Amino acid sequence: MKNLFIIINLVAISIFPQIAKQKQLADSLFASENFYQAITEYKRLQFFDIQNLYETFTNSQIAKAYKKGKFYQKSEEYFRKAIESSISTEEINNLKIELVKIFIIKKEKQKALSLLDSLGKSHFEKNQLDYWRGWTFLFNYDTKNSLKYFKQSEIAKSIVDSLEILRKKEYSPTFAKISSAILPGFGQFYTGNITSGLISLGWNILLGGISVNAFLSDRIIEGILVTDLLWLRFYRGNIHNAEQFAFEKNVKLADNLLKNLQNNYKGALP
Amino acid sequence: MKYFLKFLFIFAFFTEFGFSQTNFFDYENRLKFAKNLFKEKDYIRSLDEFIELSKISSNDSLKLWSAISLRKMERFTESEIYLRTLFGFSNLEDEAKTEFFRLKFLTEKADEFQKNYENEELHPEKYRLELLRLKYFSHLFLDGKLPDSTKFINSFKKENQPAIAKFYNERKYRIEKNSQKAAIFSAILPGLGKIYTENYSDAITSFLFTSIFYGLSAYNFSNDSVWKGVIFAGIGAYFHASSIYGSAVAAQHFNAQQKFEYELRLKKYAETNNTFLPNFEPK
Repeated sequence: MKNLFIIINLVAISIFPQIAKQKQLADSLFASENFYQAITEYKRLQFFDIQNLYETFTNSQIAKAYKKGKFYQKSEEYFRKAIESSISTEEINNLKIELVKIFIIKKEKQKALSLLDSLGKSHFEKNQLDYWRGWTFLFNYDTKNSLKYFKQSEIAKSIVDSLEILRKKEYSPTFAKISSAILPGFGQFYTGNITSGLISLGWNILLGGISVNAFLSDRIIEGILVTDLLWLRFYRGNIHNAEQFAFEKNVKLADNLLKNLQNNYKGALP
Repeated sequence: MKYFLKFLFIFAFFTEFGFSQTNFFDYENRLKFAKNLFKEKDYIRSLDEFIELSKISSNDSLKLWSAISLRKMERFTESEIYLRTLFGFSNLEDEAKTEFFRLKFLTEKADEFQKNYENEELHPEKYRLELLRLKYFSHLFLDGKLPDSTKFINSFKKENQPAIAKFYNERKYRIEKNSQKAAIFSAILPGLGKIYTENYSDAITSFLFTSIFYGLSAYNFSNDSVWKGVIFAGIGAYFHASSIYGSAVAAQHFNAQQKFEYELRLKKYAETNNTFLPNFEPK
C-alpha cells in the first residue's frame, strides 16, 4: 500500500508538475503555521486536482489547519471528507482517531466513545483506544472513568499519577448532599462555602421553627402551608446547593489538571 | 513494469504539451476557483480571490461579487461601500442598486428601508417591479395602515400570492392584549389578568398563593394573633401586587412574542424567496 502511494505520488509529480508545485506551496504555508493561507492553497490544490490524487491528503490537511485555528466544526467536516475519500484501512483508522480528538475537544463524549467502540471492532490497538477513552472522560470531568481507562491503556503513567492525586483531593457530591440533608448548611461548609452554609442553616432554623411551632399549637393548616411552601423549598434548595458546590469544585480541579497536562504532558494530546 | 513505464512516458509526453502549461494563478483559473469557493460558502476566501483578481484586471462583476461575499459574511458596511462604487457609470449599476436594497432590507428596520426607497435616484431601472414587491413586503413589518389588499397581493408572483395573502390578513387582523386591562382584571381577582393573557398555569398559581395567604391572615386576625395576621396579609398583598404587575407585563410579553414570531416567519419567507429580488451571485 505504501509503495503504491509512493508510485502515485511520483506519477503525479512527473505528470502534473503544477499540482506538485501547488502541493509544495500549501505544505510550506502549513509548515510555517500560516494556516489560513494553507487552507486556501490546499483548497486550490483540491480544485485543480482533477484526478483526485490528493483528495484525502488535502481534506486531512485542511481539517488539521482548521483545528489549529480552533474551527472545530469545520475541522470535523473535513476529517469526515478525508475518511470518505480514503481507501486505505490504516489511513481511515488514523483519521478516525483525529476525528475522535475533535470530539474530545468539543466535549462530545458519546460521539467520541461510539467512534472508539467502532474502531475497537475493526481491531485497532486496544491500549490506544483506552488512552483516548481516558482523554474523553477527562475532558468531561469524569475522573473516575478517566483514571480507569488511562490505567488500562498502560501508556500514560504520569497522567495516571496525576489523576490519582486529583481523586484524593476531590469532594464527594454524595457526602455533600447527605450531610446537608442531615444538618442544613453542612455540605456547604464541607465544600468551603461558609457564608452560603450559614445562610442555609439560618433559613432552615427560622422556617423549621415556625412550622414546628404551628404544629405544636394545633394550627395544622398553617403548619402544612409553611412547611410545604417555605421550609421544604429552602431545605431542598440547600441539599441541591451543596451537591452543586461539590461538582463545581471538582470541575475546577479537573480543569486545572487539564491545563497542566496540555502545557506539560509530552505524549499525544487531543 | 515495462507497460507501466510506457504508459508513464506517453502520459508525460501529452502533459508536457497539455496539462503542464496550466497556471492555477492565471485569471481564468483563479476566477473558476473563486466561484467554486463561493459555491462552497467559503465567502472569506472567495472575497480574497475576487480582490486578487481585480488587481490583475479590475471589472464590475468582481466588485459586485465582492459585495455579495461581504453581505454573506454579514460585513454589511463594507458591502455597501463596494456597491456604491458601482452607482453612476457602471454596466452593473442596476444590479448594484438592487443588491443595495436587498442589503438595506436585511440590515435595517422596515421604516428605514422605505425611507431609502423614497429616493428614486436609487431605483434600478431594470428591476423596478421586483423592488416594488420588496417595498410592499416591508409594509408587513410596520404597524401603520396597509396598502389596498388587491394591489398589494397582485404585485407578487402567482406562486407567492397565497402566502402573501395569509401574511397580509394576519397582520391586518392581529389581536393585541391590553396591559391596563390585564392589570385591572388581576386587581379585581388575582390571576384573572393572567387568564386574559393566556397564561393559565400562572393564573392558578397567582390565585392560590394570594388567596392562601389572605386566608391565613384572616384566620390569624380572627384568633387574635395580630402580628401573624399582619405578616400573612403582607405576604398576600405581595403576591397580589405581583399578580397585577405580572399580568400587565404578560400582556406586553404576549404582544411582543406574537410580533416576534410573525416577523421571524416573514423574514424566513423573504429569505427562501431570495427577498423577491433577482440573484446576482457568481455562477
